[in-house]
Amino acid sequence: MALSFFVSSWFGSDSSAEQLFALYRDTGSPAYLEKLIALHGNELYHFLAQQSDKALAEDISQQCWLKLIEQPYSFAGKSSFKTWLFSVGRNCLIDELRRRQRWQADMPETELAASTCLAQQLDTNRRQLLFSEQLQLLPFLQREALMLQLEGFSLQQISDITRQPAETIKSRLRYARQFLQQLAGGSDDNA
Amino acid sequence: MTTPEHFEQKLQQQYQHDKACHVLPQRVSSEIVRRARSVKRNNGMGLWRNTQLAMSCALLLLMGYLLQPADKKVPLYYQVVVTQGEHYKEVQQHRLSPQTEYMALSPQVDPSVVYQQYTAAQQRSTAFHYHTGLLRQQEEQWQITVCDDLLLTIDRQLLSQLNLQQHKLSDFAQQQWVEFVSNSAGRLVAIKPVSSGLYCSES
Repeated sequence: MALSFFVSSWFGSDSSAEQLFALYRDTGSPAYLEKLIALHGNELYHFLAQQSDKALAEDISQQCWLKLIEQPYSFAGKSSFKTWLFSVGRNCLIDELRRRQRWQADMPETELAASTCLAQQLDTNRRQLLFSEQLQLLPFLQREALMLQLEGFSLQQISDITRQPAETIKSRLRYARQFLQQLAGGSDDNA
Repeated sequence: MTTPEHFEQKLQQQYQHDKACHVLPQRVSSEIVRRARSVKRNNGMGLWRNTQLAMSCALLLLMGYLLQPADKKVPLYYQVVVTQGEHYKEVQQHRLSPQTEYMALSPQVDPSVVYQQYTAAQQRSTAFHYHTGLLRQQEEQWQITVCDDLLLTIDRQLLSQLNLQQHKLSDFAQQQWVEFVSNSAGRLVAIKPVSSGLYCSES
């Protein structure tokens, strides 16, 4: 904990996020915060931007980091720093979407399968979409699970971030992949 | 036909490419850092916490150092050194000394415990021997002489632990006849004053 003050010089530029966080928490030096933002700021922003829009992603990103500044002990080290950061980001985003009455993802899991039908309805021209546009065709929760997995989170970590059982996450991932595979198949056919 | 492996690879590539196109604007990160600097949390707080930690550690170390000697007792061992003297046939030096390599082999013996064993077995045991001799105080040690047969020196530390039969060390005169008891190992167990002395023949 406070020992980080004494050992800060031991850590080079390859410090892990947890080490950087401990150093920032104990010293309050903005230099460590800058390194943390460099390490995970873009990843969080990308996740939030895909789940909302750029303006909201900027806003939520800022909120997350400000939470870290104002309540440095809110990260207790029970998970990795990145998992904690994405959990905070996701919660802030959903709160904000609810506040703005843009939250539409509270759908039962049984309805998730229906999204695969969407791909079949797309015509040939729409299959030539950019990846980000393809992602936007996915339901919020499927897109969320897929992005978190592509971001490198394990099934358990995704489960922790979203507070959903691992089985549910598996289903979302499967449907998301099926959908994208159908789109990809169409793209390949047209290539 | 797209294989699952190819699909996964392409998915990951597309994701990384997409991520590279969506980076946190510099003005946002600058604003966050600016806010961090303005908050800069009375960062004396962090320093103060570390100072407290360092001071607590130093205090604990100091207390540990100060308390250690009180707890640490160096075990003393009964040591008998037997030599031959110029004026006596045998000279025995009885003393308590800190553990040495030689003494480490000897068990630690409390003379008072041995005396209890002696009194319990007094009637039947031949393991204890008693002799009469003249006790004298000689600077830092006491001596018991048995004619010119034996000179036995006892250091003060050992004497204070011996059973003196209700007597205090100060009760003993500078020179006094005593009966001393030793066990089978030759260790002194008790000393008591006696009124009658020993007749030593001229040798």
